Amino acid sequence: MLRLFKNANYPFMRWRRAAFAISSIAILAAGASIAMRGGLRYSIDFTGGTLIQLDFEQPVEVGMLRGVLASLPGLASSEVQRFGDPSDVVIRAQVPPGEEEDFGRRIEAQLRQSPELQDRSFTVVRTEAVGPKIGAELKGQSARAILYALILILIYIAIRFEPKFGVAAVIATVHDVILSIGAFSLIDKEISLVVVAGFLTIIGYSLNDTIVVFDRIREDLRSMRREPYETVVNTAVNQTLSRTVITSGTTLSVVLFLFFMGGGVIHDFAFALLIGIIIGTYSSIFVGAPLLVEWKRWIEDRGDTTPASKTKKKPQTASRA
Amino acid sequence: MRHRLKIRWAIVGVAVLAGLWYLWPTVRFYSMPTQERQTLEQDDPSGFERLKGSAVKLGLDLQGGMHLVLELDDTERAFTGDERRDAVDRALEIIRNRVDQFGVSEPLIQKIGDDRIIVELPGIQDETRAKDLVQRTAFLEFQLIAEGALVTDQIRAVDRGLAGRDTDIEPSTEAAVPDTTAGESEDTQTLEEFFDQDGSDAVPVQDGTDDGRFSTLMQTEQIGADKFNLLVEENDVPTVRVILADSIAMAAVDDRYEWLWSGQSRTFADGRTYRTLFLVVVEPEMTGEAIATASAGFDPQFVSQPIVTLAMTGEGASTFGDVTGRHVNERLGIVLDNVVRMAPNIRQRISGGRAQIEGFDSIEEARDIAIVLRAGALPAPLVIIEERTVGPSLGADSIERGRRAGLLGLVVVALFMIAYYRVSGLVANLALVFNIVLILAALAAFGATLTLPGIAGLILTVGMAVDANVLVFERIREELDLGKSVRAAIDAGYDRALVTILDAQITTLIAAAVLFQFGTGPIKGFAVVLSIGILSSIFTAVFVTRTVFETWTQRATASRLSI
Repeated sequence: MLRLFKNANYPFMRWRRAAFAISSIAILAAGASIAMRGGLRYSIDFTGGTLIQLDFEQPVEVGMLRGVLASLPGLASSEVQRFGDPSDVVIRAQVPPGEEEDFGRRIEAQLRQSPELQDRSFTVVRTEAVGPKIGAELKGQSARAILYALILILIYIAIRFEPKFGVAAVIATVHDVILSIGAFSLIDKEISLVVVAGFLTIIGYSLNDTIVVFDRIREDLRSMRREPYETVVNTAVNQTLSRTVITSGTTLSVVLFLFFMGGGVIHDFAFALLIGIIIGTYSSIFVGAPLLVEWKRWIEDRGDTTPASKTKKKPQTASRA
Repeated sequence: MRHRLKIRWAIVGVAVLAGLWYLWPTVRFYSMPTQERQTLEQDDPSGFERLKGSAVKLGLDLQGGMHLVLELDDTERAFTGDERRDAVDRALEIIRNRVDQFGVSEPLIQKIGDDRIIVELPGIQDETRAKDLVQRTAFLEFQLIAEGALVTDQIRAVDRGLAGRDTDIEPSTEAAVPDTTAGESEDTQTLEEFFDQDGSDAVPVQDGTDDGRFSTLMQTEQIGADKFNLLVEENDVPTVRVILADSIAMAAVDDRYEWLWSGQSRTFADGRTYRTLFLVVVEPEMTGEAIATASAGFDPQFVSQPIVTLAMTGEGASTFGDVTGRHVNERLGIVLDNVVRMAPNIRQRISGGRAQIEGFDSIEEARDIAIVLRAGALPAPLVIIEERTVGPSLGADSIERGRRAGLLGLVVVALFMIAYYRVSGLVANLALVFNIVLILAALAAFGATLTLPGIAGLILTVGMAVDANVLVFERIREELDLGKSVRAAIDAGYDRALVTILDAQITTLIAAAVLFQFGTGPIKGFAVVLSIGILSSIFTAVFVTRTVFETWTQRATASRLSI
């Protein structure tokens, strides 16, 4: 019988300070990357602008297209990018207000007329034009959506478990979202509407992972009343370790197929999930559960210095399920 | 116990049948060769619609089409809250009417928020035409054309305005510098020449070197004793537009008149292409409200010429009779959205309330205009603030890629489950396939739309749905390690894992619900698939597999579990 992590007993909780250090450095790096690049790179969904996707019959050199566009009036600042296949390119442009509508068609017309592209046939397979106003609105909506999701989940976990579980789970999730955004900044990928959907999915997924661990902690707290809190948490993480790794593995493998084969639009979405799953798996072991231990210790430390500690109540028994 | 199992199997059976029942039209419709589909559509339209209607709908990003978000244009005038709501509601009705007449299958026209309208047109081939149809204000006015000395006076007024301007008007594009000397031919003359001929009270023409001067940009075309058309060479049109929009240049112009362009340009004997500029009386004699119906067709005299015939209401017809009677031998411009479509000379009083518009590039254009005239004018101009168009080839490509990625993902996950959990893994795999059937069946049953992110959600569900089984199986293994019997281990495994599964899935459901609230079309599609996937995976991965295991443990020989 195949079995991963049979009777695993890794001292995860002992590594928690190191893990916190790693997470803190990663968050700082994410912040530094965003700051150095002067903010996040948003897609036209959020900035407003025009995008057209061209599908050439033969593979096309992006450099050549850039050259063609640079020579056309008003199109010099447009961006050309390969999109999935070598024969597909996406052209993005910031458009003067009021001209969004016809910009795609103008790019198309001018490309069709340019001598360099005479013998290359292409079709316009996608056009998008977003007004700056709606872009700004979408940005606000996206931020609110992420915030609302986190608040709702915090409330749910606080009710189903204990408030401190909810707070720990949400901190772990915020950690995941920050690092995922940081990853996008680090490799200079655009944040689009689909990517935000990816982030929201990460929130769901990462919590899923964290909750499985928390659920086991809750159960073990009942059955291992005499053990120290830290031991109980560590045991629960080890007991769920095989499940955590297997589920992450199966999910990761399908996301990898999406990433490599899903095509241009799905590519960024799959990338968000890919990063999110890896970070989410890490955080449910190294952030969520250890935070519970830290919280417990902090309460105990504070308890020792307050008059309440003079009562004979033992701190361990305070942890009810 | 046996009785309980029977009920469980009955539930599973019903679910399987329902799943296949709702999924069948989808499989049939999308696996049908295109030719067969077309044959069915012709031979049995209602049967075709039924089949199509019960198959899973594809989002615009998968079948191709156009998504527009329109907003009331309040740059021209401000609206109060009530006016705004009212205008948007009326615009919604009118657009719906237009799109229906245009004949798009399954369009979506919806108000979002207070002042926005979403229009989704699946399978649209000609974007420009569709956009015009939706966005065209279709404000029809019958305005008198100013003639002769009136026009020359107003041109001079513009010239004076321009002369008083500190800086030159710059052409809006790098359009050619106005060419004043060329372009003389038999049927055109420069304005200066015209003034010279006319000779009467012509203000001395200023020297033609003043670059931005209005009159130098005009040619005239004599069309009657005291009537002429003003022609602007196509290259100069942008410059003239800039002048006409300039408040200083236009300061001296009589505000009872306005300058309007013709819809089409014409090429003259000199080989140049000109657009006609009309000076028209601002106050319309009549508006589109007088129109009862409009239809497109070909001119009976010039058979290749597309026209739109207008039939007026009773009241409209009598007004039209009065107007034409009062203005015999004047020109009456038919102005659609501030473009002079036609400027026919009124020869006599026209009764009967019929009029005709010509000057269309194609019969399609004439048809579209007829549609918008029938459906009525928008109460206010709308601007497109978001536009997304996906070609059908890209959509088909996305489906194919999604299918391949999904199948490969499924195979890898299934192989892993068998390798790791043996027979139990096989049971989990059956549940997984059943899960996919149920998700697609539910999409079809609820009339939900499958989008590209939705496909991604489906694939993601494949990866995540086995989670429930992994949780259960890992738990059963633990229970077996503790020395429990197979039956006890299975019971304990399912019971204990269920709480975890529910807690974990409900948080994902919360995230999906927020996504649904926040997202637009494609992302909503993802949220729907994710939500259905979560619910159905709880059913298949927990209920169905447990039924299988419990049936198996009923047998006396069930002492070893392949897990």
